[in-house]
Amino acid sequence: MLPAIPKFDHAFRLSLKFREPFRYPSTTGHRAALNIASGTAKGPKFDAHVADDGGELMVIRPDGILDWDSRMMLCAKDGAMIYLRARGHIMAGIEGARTFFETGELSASKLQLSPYFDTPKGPHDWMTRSGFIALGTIGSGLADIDVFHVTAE
Amino acid sequence: MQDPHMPQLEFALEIRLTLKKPRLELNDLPQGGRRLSVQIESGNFEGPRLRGRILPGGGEWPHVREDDVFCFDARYHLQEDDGTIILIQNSGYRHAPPEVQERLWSLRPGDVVPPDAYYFRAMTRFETAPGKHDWLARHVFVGVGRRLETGNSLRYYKVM
Repeated sequence: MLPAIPKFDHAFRLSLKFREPFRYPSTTGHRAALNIASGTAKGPKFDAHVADDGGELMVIRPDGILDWDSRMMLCAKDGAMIYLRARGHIMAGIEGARTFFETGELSASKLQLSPYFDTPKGPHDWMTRSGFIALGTIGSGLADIDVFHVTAE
Repeated sequence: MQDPHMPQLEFALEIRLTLKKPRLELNDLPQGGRRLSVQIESGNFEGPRLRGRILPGGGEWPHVREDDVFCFDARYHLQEDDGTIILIQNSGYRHAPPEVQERLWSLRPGDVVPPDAYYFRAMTRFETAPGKHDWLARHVFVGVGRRLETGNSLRYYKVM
């Protein structure tokens, strides 16, 4: 019997505003770093805002992928702190990635992330024992990312 | 007889960080312990071959385990006086007897805990552009830290 095809529930939309990115060459390849100016997470299962500057590190790959590695702390409406770590890819394209490195401007690009959460014990701790994927769009200064919970079905 | 494979160290640089207050605390994790968010406000660094400032942004999100050991996860950027940007990624441990940990957690101005009263060690990787500073990206580094009221100060040694 084949394993079940995964099913998803929409958990929340993460909307982020970024500060000006800085870019630099490195022995690993071109890199970029972004900090968060502000952000919200809103959805049927979660309502929060970004509580710190976050830290997004990227490797700008020569094949047009921006390899994303981020951390941030969210503060839920009930005051609970939620830690979010995510890795994934931004599909900027070869030209888009080059332009991003040279100018800091990123044309609207699809992104796919794999989020991980730490929460306190309590109403949010289902996030610490569930799988998630996140799909969205990122452009210059802004990202809208829909986070989906992998259901048990 | 001295072990010929024992790592030899050479002092590389000291980084002094001023940390933002308050740090954010996520307590009572299902897996035990706490998660923190500690952001960097400013800082500088200096060594025999380089000096400069710490770029704002970045920080660390340590896991404080049930046994009260701080497990670091820090990422931020240095800018050398010549303009070169250097990424530092740190993992490591800080631990001490409970009374010292408590004192380190809530340091008051002027309170200095002797560094030999606690273990504060970092395993460190740097990345930077090919060129003058790329020796940083070709060596393993070990950091020895001090917790100060305003932030952290770490001395990094290159493993030869």
